[in-house]
Amino acid sequence: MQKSSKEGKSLLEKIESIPSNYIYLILIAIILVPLFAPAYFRTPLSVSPLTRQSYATISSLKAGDYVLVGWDVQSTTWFELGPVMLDVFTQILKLGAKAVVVSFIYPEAPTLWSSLLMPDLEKQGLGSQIYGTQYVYLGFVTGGESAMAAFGNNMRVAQYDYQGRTVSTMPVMAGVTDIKSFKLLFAIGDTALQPYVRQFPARYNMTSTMAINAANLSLLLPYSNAGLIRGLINGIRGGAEYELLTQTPSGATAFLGSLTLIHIYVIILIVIGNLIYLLRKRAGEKEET
Amino acid sequence: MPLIIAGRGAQLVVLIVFSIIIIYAMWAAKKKLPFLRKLPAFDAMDEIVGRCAEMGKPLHFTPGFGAGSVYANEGPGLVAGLESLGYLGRLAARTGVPLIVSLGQAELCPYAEEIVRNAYTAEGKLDRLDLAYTVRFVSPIQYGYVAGVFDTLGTEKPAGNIMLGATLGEALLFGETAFRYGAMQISGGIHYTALPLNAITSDYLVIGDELFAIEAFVSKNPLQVGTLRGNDISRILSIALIILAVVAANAGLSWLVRLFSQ
Amino acid sequence: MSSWVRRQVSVGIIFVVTLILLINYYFEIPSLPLVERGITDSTVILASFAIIAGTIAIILFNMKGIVRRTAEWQYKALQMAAIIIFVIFGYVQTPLAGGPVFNWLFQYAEQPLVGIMYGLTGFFIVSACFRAFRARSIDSTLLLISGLIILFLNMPWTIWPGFTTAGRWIIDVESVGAIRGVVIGITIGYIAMTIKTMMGRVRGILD
Repeated sequence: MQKSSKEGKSLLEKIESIPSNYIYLILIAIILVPLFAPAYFRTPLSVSPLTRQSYATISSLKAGDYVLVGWDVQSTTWFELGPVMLDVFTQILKLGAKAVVVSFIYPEAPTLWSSLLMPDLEKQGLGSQIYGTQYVYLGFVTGGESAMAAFGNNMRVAQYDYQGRTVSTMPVMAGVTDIKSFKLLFAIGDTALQPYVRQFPARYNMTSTMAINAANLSLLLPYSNAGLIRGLINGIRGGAEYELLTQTPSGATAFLGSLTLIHIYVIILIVIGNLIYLLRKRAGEKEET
Repeated sequence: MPLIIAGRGAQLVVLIVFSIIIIYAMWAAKKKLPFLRKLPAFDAMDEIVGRCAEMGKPLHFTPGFGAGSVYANEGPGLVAGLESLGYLGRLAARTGVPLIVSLGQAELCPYAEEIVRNAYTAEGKLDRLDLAYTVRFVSPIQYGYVAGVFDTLGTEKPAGNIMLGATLGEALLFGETAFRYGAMQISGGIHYTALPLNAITSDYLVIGDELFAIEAFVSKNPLQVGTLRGNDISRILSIALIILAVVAANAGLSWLVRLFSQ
Repeated sequence: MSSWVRRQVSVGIIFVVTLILLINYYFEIPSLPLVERGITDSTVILASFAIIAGTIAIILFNMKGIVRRTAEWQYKALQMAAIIIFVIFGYVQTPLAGGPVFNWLFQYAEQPLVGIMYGLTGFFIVSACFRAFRARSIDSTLLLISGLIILFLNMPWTIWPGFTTAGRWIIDVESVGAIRGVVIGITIGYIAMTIKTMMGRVRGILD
């Protein structure tokens, strides 16, 4: 199997130094094919305890309960968290709960809300049809974590919604006096969620559940283990689990086939890479002896 | 109305105790410099700049994106990363290596420019400095910043790539790209979620609070080294408190557990 | 004003502001939240001006490249055009979330480009996994085994329940334990950094 270096690269060397382009081409194929033919790539999905806990927390809401929704998604994480937000927010509204949505960290959050999320809500009859009566979006409140602290002390720091309308006259705000009016905090984002943990569940003992992108899940696990957060939705996979629990397969479920194949592909690549490394190491030791 | 906000009394006591320890250690270090163990990442900085000088290629530095702002959680990490820029700036000025600093935070631009200007002035090479070339504010949007740094790495093909501060997912992208151009790399910072990405792409790794030790390692200034000693003592005290809390919780000493949450 | 005086004034401002913010966090003093809010608002305004300064820096850098016709100057011209278009429509169609043209530009120009860049992460992860996950030493073997178990855990299709158990143990016990340790270390580093800054001992920034 091994050839001498004078005769060119061995088979193992060729495989090990395969140009990245071929690896990427195969990756593109395994991402796209399940999207076009999902029926052939249905995989059984197990629901994680964290998602179950999140679902249970949100399902415990009753009609008229107030939910504070922290919407701090940026352009990059929209693709992963947009479907999750749609699923959870829809469920909150369908339970009859009322929501006050606000952003503190990313200034682009209102633009994502108006251009990407609202159109989807409109299609379901949850857009302008019930805006102002069942929920309101206060837009971006400048100041980061300090703004969160100020909001917790006095909600009048946010007097206008994301389109400049006064919120105090909106029917949805009638039952909100201070931060303790909220039964639940649902925050969605990435690294931006750490300030939410410090300012709301830690400070006001507010029941909280969160959705975070998969890359940053470990950021919130210590808080979840300590009981500060009741349930975590882990990126697109968590979104698919949530859709399974609500029995509304949608955006997140569509990616499951691709997700499974990508994982299998990466595992195969790692195994091949290590096999080649070990075989070459053994061949090198044999040559020395 | 109680003066101390409920639930923060114990935190305040711990903060005061740690602060006293750190200040005392800073003062004590003036009399006798504490021992500093070797950290390969810091020793490698000289090696990387030397490599850039031999190959005639630039050195690239970035403190990472953080959350796009120095006023966020990651602010101290970004500032700590920039502390190393002072040292790198002096090395670059001394050896004539072109230095490129890519920033994702507009408010860090004046700081970085000041640091680089001071470094070149200290080496007497201010006339060689082109600030517009060296300090580049790329974009306040994370992946706009990534795209800009890709362009820099692809155009300049640096022989050294140093990412110290608050790198996130971009650590993987920059690390892989710089690796393909044959760059030697140091990376690390305060974001533990990025540590695995730093570990698999870089030659040298800086973990968590090692970032804050940079100034002490490069300057051997007693105050800076004393701060490290203070950090270490505070860390030992934290471990002792954790053990005490675990024992208290398991031994049913609820009054002690309540004391920790006052 | 001499540089010594300038430095002392800077250190003094930093000391007073930090002290106010710390006192406000721990103590219930009636008028202090208002002062804290004022400081925060000032910070936000300063940050906005910093963005203006940064944008000017980008414009200068790109204009230099365009005028001197450096390599790929056309992309610099494209970047300048994009800045001008977004600024114009951002101001013309204020307030707040922007008007239809701005939203269109955001949804059909910026979002897809951001998506492309974010999508690259996946490709780089794959090539990094193929290159870097090798059992070269005990440390790297442990990293390899942990990585494989977590991959099996995160895969939607559960091949073997043992992977779930092992994966959860790695995440809940090992990983979270290590994270807590790193976080405590970083927090202590933050405290030290704050003390150094309040004392004016952070070199490079106050020099």
